[in-house]
Amino acid sequence: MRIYLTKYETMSTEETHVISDAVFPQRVHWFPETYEKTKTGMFQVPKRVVDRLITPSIIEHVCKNKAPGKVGFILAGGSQVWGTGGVPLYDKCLTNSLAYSYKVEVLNVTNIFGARVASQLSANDYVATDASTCASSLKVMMDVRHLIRDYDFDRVYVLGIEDSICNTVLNFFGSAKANICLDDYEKGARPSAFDYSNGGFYLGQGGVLAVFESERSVAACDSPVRAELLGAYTAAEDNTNPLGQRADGMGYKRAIEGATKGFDHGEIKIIKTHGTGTSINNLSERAAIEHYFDDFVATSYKQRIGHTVGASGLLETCLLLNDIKNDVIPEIINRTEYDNKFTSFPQKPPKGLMLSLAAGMGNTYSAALFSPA
Amino acid sequence: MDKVELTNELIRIAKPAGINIVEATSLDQETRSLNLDSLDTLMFTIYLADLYGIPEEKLKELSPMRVTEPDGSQRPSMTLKMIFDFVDKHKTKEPENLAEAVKNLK
Repeated sequence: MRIYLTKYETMSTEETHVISDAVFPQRVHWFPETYEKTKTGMFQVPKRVVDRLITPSIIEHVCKNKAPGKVGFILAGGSQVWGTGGVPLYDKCLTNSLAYSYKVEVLNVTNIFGARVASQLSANDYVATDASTCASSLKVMMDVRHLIRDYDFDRVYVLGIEDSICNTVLNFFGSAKANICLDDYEKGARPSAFDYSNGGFYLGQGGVLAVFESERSVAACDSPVRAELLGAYTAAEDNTNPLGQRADGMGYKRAIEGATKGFDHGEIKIIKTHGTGTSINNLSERAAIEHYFDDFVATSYKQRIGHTVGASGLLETCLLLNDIKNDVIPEIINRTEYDNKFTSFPQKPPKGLMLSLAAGMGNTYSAALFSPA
Repeated sequence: MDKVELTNELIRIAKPAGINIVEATSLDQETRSLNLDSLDTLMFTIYLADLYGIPEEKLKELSPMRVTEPDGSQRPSMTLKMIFDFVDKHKTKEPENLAEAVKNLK
């Protein structure tokens, strides 16, 4: 049974704003209006994003083009730490601009939040939540394949969303020196990836709602095809540190091996990297990609839209599909060296298959193989 | 402010978009007749508590009564009148009008 990505809605922004009253002041990509009134406790930030992803077009697809068979829903919710004022270690988190306490607390439980969105989409045959941190929304491509190929599902909705701009996440990344904070920025640090001078990312708010359908459903509903999902796999690597990555790219290699099984690696020409731009990810991801591929163009979106954590893998994949449709593979921004592979300049998309990669803390590496329409 | 109208506005906010809404016509209706599940009812009452300045601790005292079905089984029942009676008893403020109330919840 062939599997198609038929519709998607994305939310992300290239604009940055400074959050100066965070424990680790930093620039973020976000939508400030989704935080309005949070102090009242009546508004949960991820819901504000999801409300914008469930567009009339998606609702029309749900209502008018009913799938012939079973419909499932997966919330790729990343870390499952939502709506928090911050860890008690930092008193500042209890009062700063990001502090709020949501009055309908049960909806901070991602499984309940997810089930509520699933009911909106009439996805009542399977509802699940995934917590594979930053790999989450790409990791669930493996689940999508299982449901459609092995369990006769006709449609699976994947919602990638995380409460990424909250005190807990900003503190976590800031204290780990994993992202670019304001003091780094003032010293000249700029986000990039696979570069010898610049590197890293800001955090980003964003989300994606994607519809995957069986070929039977595509035929029955006359659904538009944006890409075919050809393979997906998730692996771990031999590593005792769940926060770390191996420089030899073992996790990425295993994920790539699994997702591309049965395909000639020479057919794969476009790569969406995880691309955090940290020193260790640069080494790890480059080692894996160069192990399998020679003739390719790779890009990264985290420097454009921020690291949207759990949403990032599928969100960035959809953004790349949009760019391919517009006949461009965008460059990795702030590169300081000429590079035609981990591209430092916009390129015309080569004909071929597209591989998406993601990694998540907790030793999770995911890859998904697509054929863009 | 017309409480039935307010109820219908709050239901539209509390219910996920895309789900069919059953409009209230009388305060004697039970919440379950309005297609409100337990989470919708929770959100509806929290919205009301916010509009009328009722502390969350006080809101916990709002609980359904038990009614006996013809077959002898019991089930929880909450009418809109029960909810608004509770609101009237414990309110510390009142929204000026329907438009203002709804605006603050969107």
